This record gives sequence, structure tokens and C-alpha cells, in this order.
Amino acid sequence: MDTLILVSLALPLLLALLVALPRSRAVALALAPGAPLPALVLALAAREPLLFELPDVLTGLQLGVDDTGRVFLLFTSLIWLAAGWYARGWLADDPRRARFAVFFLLTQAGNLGACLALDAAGFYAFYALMSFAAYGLVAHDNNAVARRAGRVYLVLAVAGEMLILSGLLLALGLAPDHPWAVACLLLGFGVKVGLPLLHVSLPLAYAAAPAPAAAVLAGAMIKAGLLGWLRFLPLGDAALPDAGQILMLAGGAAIVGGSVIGLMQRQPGAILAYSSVAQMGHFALGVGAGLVAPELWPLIAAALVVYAAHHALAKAALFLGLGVVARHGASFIHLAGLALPALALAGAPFSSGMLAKLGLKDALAPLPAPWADVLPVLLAVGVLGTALLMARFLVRVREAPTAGGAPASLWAPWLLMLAGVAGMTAGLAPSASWTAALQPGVLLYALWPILAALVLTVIALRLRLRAPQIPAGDLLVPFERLLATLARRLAHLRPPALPTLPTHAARRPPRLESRLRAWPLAGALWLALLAGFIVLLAR
Amino acid sequence: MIADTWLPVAVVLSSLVPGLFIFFLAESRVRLRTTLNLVGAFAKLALIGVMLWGVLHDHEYVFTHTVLPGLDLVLKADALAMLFVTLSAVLWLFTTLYAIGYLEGAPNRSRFFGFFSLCVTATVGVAMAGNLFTFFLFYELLTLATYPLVVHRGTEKALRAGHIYLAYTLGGGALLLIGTVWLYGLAGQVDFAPGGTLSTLPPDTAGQLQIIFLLLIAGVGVKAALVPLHGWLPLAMVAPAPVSALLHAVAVVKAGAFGIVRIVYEVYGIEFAQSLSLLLPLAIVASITILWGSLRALFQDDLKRRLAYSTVSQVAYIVLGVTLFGPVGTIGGIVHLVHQGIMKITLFFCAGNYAETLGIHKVSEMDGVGRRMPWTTLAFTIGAFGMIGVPPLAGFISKWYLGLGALEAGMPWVLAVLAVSSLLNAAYFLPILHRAWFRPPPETWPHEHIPLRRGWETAPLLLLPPMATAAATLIVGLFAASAFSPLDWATLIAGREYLQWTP
Amino acid sequence: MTDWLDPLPWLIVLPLVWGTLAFVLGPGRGARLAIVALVLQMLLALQLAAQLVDAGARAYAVGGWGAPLGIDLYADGLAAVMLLLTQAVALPLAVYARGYFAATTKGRDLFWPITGLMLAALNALFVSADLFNIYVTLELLGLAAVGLVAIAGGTAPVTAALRYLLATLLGSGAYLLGVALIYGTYGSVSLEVLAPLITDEAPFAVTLAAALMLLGLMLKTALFPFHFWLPPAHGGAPAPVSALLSALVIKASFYLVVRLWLDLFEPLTTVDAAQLIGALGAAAIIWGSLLALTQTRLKMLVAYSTVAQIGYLFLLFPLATLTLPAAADSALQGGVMQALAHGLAKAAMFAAAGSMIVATGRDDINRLGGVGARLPLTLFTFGMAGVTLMGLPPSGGFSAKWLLLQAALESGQWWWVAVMVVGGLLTAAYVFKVLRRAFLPVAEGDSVTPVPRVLEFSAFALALASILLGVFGAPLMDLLAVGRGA
Repeated sequence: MDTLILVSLALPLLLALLVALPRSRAVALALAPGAPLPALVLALAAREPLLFELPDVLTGLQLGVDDTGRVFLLFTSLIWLAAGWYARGWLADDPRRARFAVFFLLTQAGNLGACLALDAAGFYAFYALMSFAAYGLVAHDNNAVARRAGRVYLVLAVAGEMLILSGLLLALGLAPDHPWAVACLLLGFGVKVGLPLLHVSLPLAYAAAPAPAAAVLAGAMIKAGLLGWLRFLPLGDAALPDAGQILMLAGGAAIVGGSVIGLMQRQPGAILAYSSVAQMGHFALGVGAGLVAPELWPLIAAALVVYAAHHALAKAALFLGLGVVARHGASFIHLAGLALPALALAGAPFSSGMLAKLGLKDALAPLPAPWADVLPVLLAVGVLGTALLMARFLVRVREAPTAGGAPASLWAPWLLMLAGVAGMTAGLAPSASWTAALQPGVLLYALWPILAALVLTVIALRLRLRAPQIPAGDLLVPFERLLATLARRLAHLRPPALPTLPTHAARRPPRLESRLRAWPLAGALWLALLAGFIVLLAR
Repeated sequence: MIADTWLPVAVVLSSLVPGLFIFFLAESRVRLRTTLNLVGAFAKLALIGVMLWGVLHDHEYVFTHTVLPGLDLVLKADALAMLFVTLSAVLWLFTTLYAIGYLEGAPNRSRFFGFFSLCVTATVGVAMAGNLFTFFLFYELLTLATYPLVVHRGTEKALRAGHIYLAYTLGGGALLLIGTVWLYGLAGQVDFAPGGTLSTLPPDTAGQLQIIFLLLIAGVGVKAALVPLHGWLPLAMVAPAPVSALLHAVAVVKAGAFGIVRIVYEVYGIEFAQSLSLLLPLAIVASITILWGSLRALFQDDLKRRLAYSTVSQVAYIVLGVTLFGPVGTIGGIVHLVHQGIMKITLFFCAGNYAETLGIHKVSEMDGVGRRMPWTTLAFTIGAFGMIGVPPLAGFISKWYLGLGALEAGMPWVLAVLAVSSLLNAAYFLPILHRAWFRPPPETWPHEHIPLRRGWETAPLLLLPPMATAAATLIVGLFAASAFSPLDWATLIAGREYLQWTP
Repeated sequence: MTDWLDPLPWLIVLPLVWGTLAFVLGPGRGARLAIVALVLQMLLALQLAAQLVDAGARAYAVGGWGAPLGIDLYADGLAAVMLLLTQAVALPLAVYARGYFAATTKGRDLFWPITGLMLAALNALFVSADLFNIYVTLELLGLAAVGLVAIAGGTAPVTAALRYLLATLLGSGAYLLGVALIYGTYGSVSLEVLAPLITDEAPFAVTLAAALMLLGLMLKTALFPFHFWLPPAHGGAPAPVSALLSALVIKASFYLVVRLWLDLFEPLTTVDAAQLIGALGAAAIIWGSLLALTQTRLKMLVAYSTVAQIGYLFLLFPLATLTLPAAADSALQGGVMQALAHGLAKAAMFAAAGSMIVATGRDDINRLGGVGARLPLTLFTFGMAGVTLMGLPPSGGFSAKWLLLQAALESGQWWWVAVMVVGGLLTAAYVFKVLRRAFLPVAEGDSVTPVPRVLEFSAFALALASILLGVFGAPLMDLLAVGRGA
């Protein structure tokens, strides 16, 4: 098992190296999609928690699989497997596919490593590898849109890295529940999770990245941020009501804001991104609740893990499907394929989404006032918002232009992903929650938002209502303008002149020197000094 | 044992003697010169290897020679010295190889390599100095040995840079001298000893000791390029690339930083320095330097200038680590001494490669260079990420320990300095990497000297050293916790500086 | 001990002999003879030093008669150190001069005889035991030096020589006046006899004598503001002559000031007077360095550097006068070390400058381009000598500065610290002014011809010695302590 852990990390790295070397490139490219297989096997096979220590590496690296990590590893490796497979078809004609593959594999290694690392430095290392290498995925297309997306992504990612590092250090050096540590970790991982205000890179990046990259970004990597919270926040140990409340508020804002702004988007990718913001708001809500009420944490944690797996697979399936549509057109079967994960996301009856949402709702129910009253409303808004977003997404997809003309090899990985979404539903939840979920009242509760969304969408389409437009990245646009002005100002700073050895001090000797040479002055000076000495010596 | 006395001297001589020979060599004796250089470099490494083994086993290597009554020249190989000596010797070897490739066919090579060896001699002397006087001696020798290297090209710009360099370093040397003499007057011979020696002085000298500290730090701070004494460094980058590499990584800048380490830990003693409340002001100066250097680097288009400002910032990390009261901060500062050297030398090697191969001197000319010179750019990338502090590279380990050390020392604001500086580092390095890897290459390069040949993107002697140091950047970071890593050695040193602490 | 093998008299006789012979034999064989004799002198000086370390300071009665009738020689540590310096500077310079005068014949014939005379006078001066003998040697030395300045012929050197002559005569005249006053008061000129007689209640005539003698010697040492004669004389003479004058001749009068101030007139000295001397020294350091910076001729720059370096010598007086014994010891050691270091370094520097001038064919700092490439060793020599003058380690100049700084800080006279530091930086400025030019490529229309290797190596030897002095100076300091009352 220890070997399997090593192999699952080493294989993507090794393949990245082999792709980079011209001689082995062709072979390595063919093998690249299989890179996450060992990790997948590990996730499936690791029934018991595993711990594998490498004391010489970094500050003493600890790798392993625990209960949480196993779920994360499972859906992460599955998404990467499908996306890698998909990428082969997607980029078949791309001259820069080798470069893409290198970054893809590096990001993958980072993401898998983050799932496996159990110590702070190790987690941070893999997380950073993932964040930085993903720049190559976001900026791959190398047009203006991709470059801007890449820049914004990178700035936020680097800022996030610094916050995470500071947070980890504070947690280790002071205390895990030190307010500053918690704040840094919340914000640092919040960049990846897409907390409000930190979310601005998501819409840009998801829209700019190639479809398989968007799938891993939205499906797998965003969850690494969540994993960071789960691993390093003092959840269940300490009550931090202030931080928790703020985080819950942020989650609420994300749920509402993400839905609203998402509805004002035109690009399908951006709609999905804002949907992610809204979905991740649920996680903020859950983690915040865990900080407020540590005693509830075990329940909440279980619910969140299920939710994470559900959202990861569904979102990845949506992005892969979006790519299929972009290449092959919005045929009925394609739309049907897209509708499946969309429904799951909206929490339709019998879907993983329903299970996840119910689980979260139940876990959060015992929270004290005022959350007990607010939460049901908020969650309902969230579900409705998601349903609306999905409807809007499907509408926009149908209208979006298609590029067309790629091999059918995109199909198989997409189907794998869809199967994953379906399999999730069956596989993850304990049977008890199934029986609870199959109550008619519950089913109705799950159904109404979808129906409502359907009705609203049909009305909107009939009336040809046009949503107002907000550019993807919303608040980013004015901020970028401000920064540009600031940079111009700073560039005008001039350094002061530097001191130097005086080599050209004076061109000519001072006149005093030639006067000293004249005998009368010299003689007078001599006599004066003589007198002086006599006086001084005589006391 | 005779060897115990003479080994330190032999280490110094192993570069001095070849250097002096090289001065007298005719320009055309390429092979002999190369042989002399390499024999010196390898001999030094071998001698150091022996001493490393000894020092690890608590062996003392001390050489003492009385220069004047009450004034001894002492060379001593303690753990701290060995850290710096090993770094210097290893990087000297790489730089020599690189310089041989870099200067192929250039004029005045005998002079260059002569002073080059002298420069390393001085650095090794600085490292092994056993008291403040010996330190000062080699410190000034370093100034003199590097001046001809800075002005080597003989252009007006180089000469101007050389003069500014001298104005700063000689001025700093003067302050250091005053401080040293004053301290000798107060305390007699000031030997470097773990834990410092000054705490036994009567309490009424505290005021004087504070002033002396100021003088000493200002003196070495010039070479360590602490703001506002850093002005010479960005100009000195007119020197040939191997010189810049050596200057920024091991020799001059590092000698300054090393001086601060010695003064704080082994002259005053960290605990005594803390009790004189000397550490906080120094930490503030270092923090300002870190931020200012990074900020200035942002606006440089000249690649080497950008790297130079980056050095200003990075070297201050060492100083910052020194001022963090507590063993963890000490480890961070000392280990960064090594890490910064490896990373920065990589970057300068790469900058030299770009200039020498394609005539690229500016960041704005680097579009697509990753495709033309992938290996060099890879090395550059590793170096840059290391500087930003991305794991598992060397810079991360430094930052990790500095951060923890800051918390241990009760100065959490340092974390903010580190974070902001890392952000700025990213801001000035990542655009370079973007250009190099993602932008399309231009039709023609500014001035292509070395064409692609049999798969070599540039001359082998230019390519291999940065690859090696880049690999080292990765290895010392990745295997930081293993035995004999710089981190391990720094931990050993910290253990000896804090008498009450066991790692 | 009147053994004929005693090195003391031989050190005086030998140069007289070879000087005379050189006059007869001509410059070719004379030079060879001189070099051989100088090797011998060096050995004798070393032997004397060894004897002194073993047995302490001692006198030597010429012809066995002894004072007050005969002539007494007296050698203590200080004298021995100066003797060593003299031989150590003269030997490489003789080698240098032989090569130099092979290239330039101007003044060759008279160089060796006058140099012999001059060295004899110098050696005699250092070991003279009475004030009058000192006067005689001083006068001889001055005349020989003036002669050397004039040997090249031409208007400028002769004018300079005349000015020098006048200054040196005035100086020795004042000195003689002082000797006369002392003799009139005490009826003796023997240092040994006078030492116990002169107390702090000495009559005014003695004070007057002391002032006259000191002022006269300062004039001869070219201490600011009496440096006016030095740059033209030293800058205009042939390179080996400049080297000898700057390195040795001015040290002789300085040596006498030290002797008189610290030994004979010690009871009369006051802090204020010492501070005045120090102030003159400080002014010399600053003024000389600044003027060196403004020079365009290489040798004039080096000559002004001498003016500045003399200033350091005189800092010893405020530091050694009525201060703590430790500070006074440091000060004396520092002053003497400075004399040694400057002697060796300045000889090297003038010699190197001479080589550069021979190579480029002109005495112009701005046209030194190419020297760095063609005469690397000479440039290196110049640089090493510069290091000593700047007081950077490891060098004799550094040791001197260290000791003086130590004395200044120990005696609480921090103002001299500032002067020394600023002086060091100014020195760096003018030294690098030359080096910087030499690093440039050859200018259009200029040419750099190679010079004989012997010129390069002899100068290098001197510079190397000035550096090594800093590393191996401790035995010399031990020697210096011989005969100084413990």
C-alpha cells in the first residue's frame, strides 16, 4: 500500500517529465490519461486508514488515506481520469498539447498529493504545485481572454498561497484556534473555494480553460480548498462563534449572490462558475456552522463530504458535457446527457444532490437561533437558485455556437463521468438516509424547486425576458482599473543619486596651495608656528 | 596534530595559491589556467570534506598567528564556518566551470581568474575568521578582490559602478573598523564563540556596546545591502554574469549577511543582544529592506537588475532570521544563507546564459525563450519558484522556519512581511516565466551568439552549472529534513548558539 | 664590544665605500657593487636586530674612545627598526634603479655615488648618540637628497632642487640653533648626558631650543603647511630617486622628532603642543589627499600622497603624550609601523609609477589606458601599495592604522579617529583614480611598450613587503620595544 501511495504520486510526475523530454514525448502522451489510475485503485482499495511517513522529506512528510481523504481521493482521481482521457481527444489537433499535458499532469500530481498529504508542509507543497501548475491550464489558449484569466487566477492563487502559509504557520506556531490562524486559513483556502470577493477568478478561468481543464478546476481542484479547511481548521475542537458566523454569512452571500449574478451571465462556462460559487457557499455555511457549534461537527462533516463528492462529479460532468456540445452540437442526446448532472445539482428526487442537500439540511438543523430560522429559507433559495441556474445553463448551451469536427473520443470519458454521477448516488449514502429520503414529503420537497424553475424559465422564454448583464468576474473589472492607475504612478518613482568615490572632485589644485609655496607666507607660517610651540611648550 | 592547525590555512591557500599563479600566466595558457582553477577548486572541496567530518565529531581546527601584540589572526572551522565554507567552495566550483565557458575567447582572462580566486579566498577567510579582526581583514580583502571583477569589462558604466561600489564598501569597512577597534579596546580580543563573549562586560558599557553594534552592523550592512545601504548592488550587476552570480550568491552580499550572523550570535550573543534591545531595530531594518527590494525589483526591465533587487530583498531574510529571538528563527536565517545562495546563483547563471546565447538582457526580450532554451528556462523557473518560497524548493524551507521563528520570537507581524514579500516576489518573477513559457518567440533574437548545436541549446559549460544548482535547489528543499542537509546543519548550529536548547 | 665584526659601524662604512667606488667604477659596475653591498647591509641590519633582541640596547664607541671625547653610536629597538627599513627599501630600489637607468640614462652617473652617501648618512643618523652628530648626518642627508633631485638636470628639477635645498638648510639651521642653545645651557650634546638634566623646570632657552629643533625637523619632514617643497622635488626626480626620498629621507627627520619628543624633551611636552602637532598632521592628511585627487600627473599624485601620509606619522604625538601607557605604546608602535609601511609602499608606488611612465612614455594619469592589460604586475603592485596606504588589511598600513585607532579610542581622542577614517577614504579615492584609468583600453594614438621585467618584479617585491609587514609585524614590534624603558 505504501508503494501504491508513492506510485500514485510519482506516476503523474514521471509522465510529466517524460512528456517534457522530446524523445519520450509520444509514448508518454499516450500513457498520460492513465496517470490517476493508481490513485483510483488506492482510493478503492484502502479500506483501513493508511499512514506512510517519509521523515527526510520537507519537514517530515506524512502521506496516507483517512476517511475524509479517501472520498476526496476517490472523486478526484475519477475526475482526473475522465478529464485526462477526454483531453486526449479534445486536444488531438492542438500543437501545444504536450505543454498542456505537462501542466495537466503536474496539476494532477498536486491535487492527488493534497488528498494524500496529512502534514501541514506536505499538504501545502502539493497544494501549491496544483495551484501554480494550473496556471498552465487556465492560460493554455494563450489569447487575450485566457491571459487575463490566467493573470487574475495567478494573482489570487499566489495571495491565497501566502495566506495559507501564514495560516499554517500561525496554527503551528501559536495555536490552531488562534483567530489570526483561522482567518488566514479561511481566506487562503477561500480563494480556491470561491468565497465572495475571492471568487472573481472562477468565472474567468472556467470560461477560458479548455473543457477538460475546466472540469478538473471546477470538479476536483476547488474541493482541495475545502479539504484544506477540513484538515487545518480546528473543527470540532474549538468554538469560534465569530469566525463561524462570519463564514456562514459569507456562505449565505455566496449562495444568493452566486445565483443572482450567475443568472446574468451569457457564457455557459461562466454560469457554471457562478453556480459553483453558490454551491461552495453551502460548504462555507457548513464549515461556519462547525465553528459555531463544534458539537455538531461530526454530523456536518459527514454531510459535507457527501456534498463535496456529489458536486465534484456533477460539475465535472457538466463541464465535460459542455465541451461535447461545443464540439458536436446541442443534439437532444447531448442535452439529455447534460440534464442528468444538472438535475443532480439541482437536487432532483433520487439524485445525489437530493441526498447531499438533505444531509446538510439535517445536519444544520440543530443550530441555535437565529440560524435555525434563517437556514431553511437560505437553503431553499439556494436550491431554487441552482435550479434556475441549471435551466439558464441548458438554455444558453442550446443557443451557443459549436465549433464542431473533433473525434468522438470525447464521448467515452463523458459517459464515465456521468456514470460516476449516477454511481455516487447509489454508492455513497448509507441506506438509512435512503429510506429517509424516499418519504413522499421529502421527494416533494426536492421536486418543487425544479418545477418552479421550469415554470419560471418557460415564462421567461415566452416573454423574451432579457436578464441584465454583469461581466464575468463582476467586481474585478473596476478593481483592475484601479490597479493599472496605481502601477503607473509607482513606475514613476525615481531613486536618489548614489554617492561615489570623488575621482573628478576638483580639476585644478586650489589656489591656497600655490600661495603656500611662496616663501614669505611659508616663512611667516613657520615663525608663527614656532611662536605657538614656544608658548605651548612653556605652558 | 599539525593537520588541526594547518587545515584551515590550507583551505584558504587552496584558492589563493592557484590565483596568484594565474596572475602570472600568459593569456594564451588556457589549459594550464583551467587546470589550476579546477585543481584548486577540487582540492578545496576535499579539504573541506575532511574538516566537515571532523567538525561533526566535535573536532576543533584552529590556526592562530599573532599579527601584532594583542591582535591575532585566527582561522577556525566551527559549524557555522563550515556551512559557509562548504557553500562557497561548492558554488565556486560551479561558477568556475561556468566562467570558463562564459569567458571563452574573452580578453584579460588571467586577470579575471586571478581576482576570481582571490575573491573566493577572501570569502573562505570571512567564513573561517575566528575573531572580529580576522573577519575584518578578509572582509576588506573581499572588497578589493571584487573591484577588478566588477569593472572587468572596462566600460564607463562598469567603472562608474565600480566606483560606487567602492564608495559604499570602503565606507562600510571604515565603520566596521572603528567598531572593531572600539570593541577591542573595551573587551580585548573579540573571539567568535557560540553564545557570544560580551555579556561579561560591566553593565555601564551597555551604551557603548549599543553604539558599537550600530557601527558594526552598518559596516557589514553595506555588503549585505540593507536599505538604505543597498544602492551599489543593482549597479554592480554590470559585471560579467559569473561575477554577479558569485557576488550575489556567496561572496560579497553573503559575506555581509554572514557578518551579521557572527556579530549577533558569536560576538554579542543572541541573548545578550536581546537584552540590549538590539534585535528589534535590526528586524525592522531587515523588514523594510525585504519589502523595498521586492518593490523596486517590480519595476526593473533589465533582467540582472531585477535579480539584483531581488537579492537585496532575499538577503535581508537572513538578517531577519538572525534577529528572531529563538532557535527556530535562527535556523531559518542560517539555512537561508545557503538556500538563497543556491537559488540566486541559478538565476544569475540563467541570466548569463540568455545574454551570452541570445543577447537577451531585458525581461521584455524574453518572449518565448523557453522554447529556444528549455533547460535554462527550467532552471530559471526552479530558481524563481524557490525565491517565491514555493514548496518543495529551498526557499520554502527558509520561509517556513522564518515564519515559525517569528512566532516563537513573539513577532507575528513578520509573517505579514514574509507574505507580502512573497507576493511581490511572485509579482516580479511570474511575469518573466509567463513570457518565457507562454509567449510566442520573436522572429530573431537580439543577438544570437551561440547557435543550437546537436541538441545543446547553449555551450555545455554554460548549461550544466545552472542545471546542477537548480537540482540542488530542489534537493535541499525536498530532503530538508534528512541528515547532512543544510537544514540539519543549521539546526546543529542553532543548537550550539542557544545553550539551553536541544533540537 | 668593539669587535670589528660589530654590524653597527659597518652599516655606515659600507655605503660610503661602495658609493665612493661607484664614483670611480662608473654606473655599470657601481650598480652591481651597490646591490651586493646592500645585500650585505641587509644582513648586517638583521644581525644587529637579532643582537638587540637578545641583549638589549647598546652603545658603540667609535675607535674605542667613547663620549664625550669620541663619537658614540647607540642602537636601540627604534633605531634598529629604522635601519631595517632603510636597507629593505634600498635593496629592491637598487635593483630597480639598475634596470631603470638602463632605460633612461639621464642622471645615471651620479645616482650611485650620491645614493651611497645618502644611505651612509641615513644609517649614521639612526644610530647617532649626540645632537651634534645628528646635525652632521642630517645636513649630509639633506645635501645628498638635494643632489639626487638635481641629477636629472633640466629647469624644473633644478628649480625644485633649489627650493628643496633652501628648505632643508633652513630646517637644519633651526635645528643647529637649537643644539647651540642646549649646549650653551648644559654644556653637552650627548643624548645620554642630557636626558637626566632636562626636567620640567628647564630654563626658557631649552624650551626655545626644543621648539626650534622640532620646527626645523618638521620643515624637513614636509609636514603641512611646510610641504610646499616636497611635491615638485619628489614628483620631478627620476623614479628611483623619488622612491628613496619619499620612503626614507623624510623618515629620518621624523625619526628625530620622535626621539626628541618622546625621550629628550619628554619632560617639556604638553598636551596642547601635542594636539597642535596632531592638528598639523590631520591637516596634512586631508589637504594632501585632496590635492592628490586634483593631480593630473601620476608622480605628482604619488608625491601629494606622501604629503598626506606624513600626516599619519604625526598623529602619534597627541596619542602618545601624557596618555595611558597602553595608549602611548600603541601610538608609538602605530607611528613607527606607519613609517615602515609607508616607506615600503611609497617606494613601491613610485617605482610602479616610474614603470608606467616608462611604458606609456608620459606622466599623465588620463592616458594610462592599456597599462592594466600590458603591465598587469605593475598595476597590481600599484594597487597593493595603494592598499597599504589606504590602511586596508592585511598590510603594514592597516596595522599602523589599527594601532593608532586603538590608541585614539583608548585615550578618548575620537576626533583623530574621524580624521584617519576620512583620510583612508580619500586615499582610496586617489588610488582608484589611477587604477580606474589603467583598466581602460589603450586610447587612440597611445601606445604601451613593455618594460624590463626587473622593474616590475623589484617594485612588486617592495609592495609585497608592505603587505607582509601587516601579517608578520609582531616581531618588529618586539624589536621596537628594545631599549624603551619598561
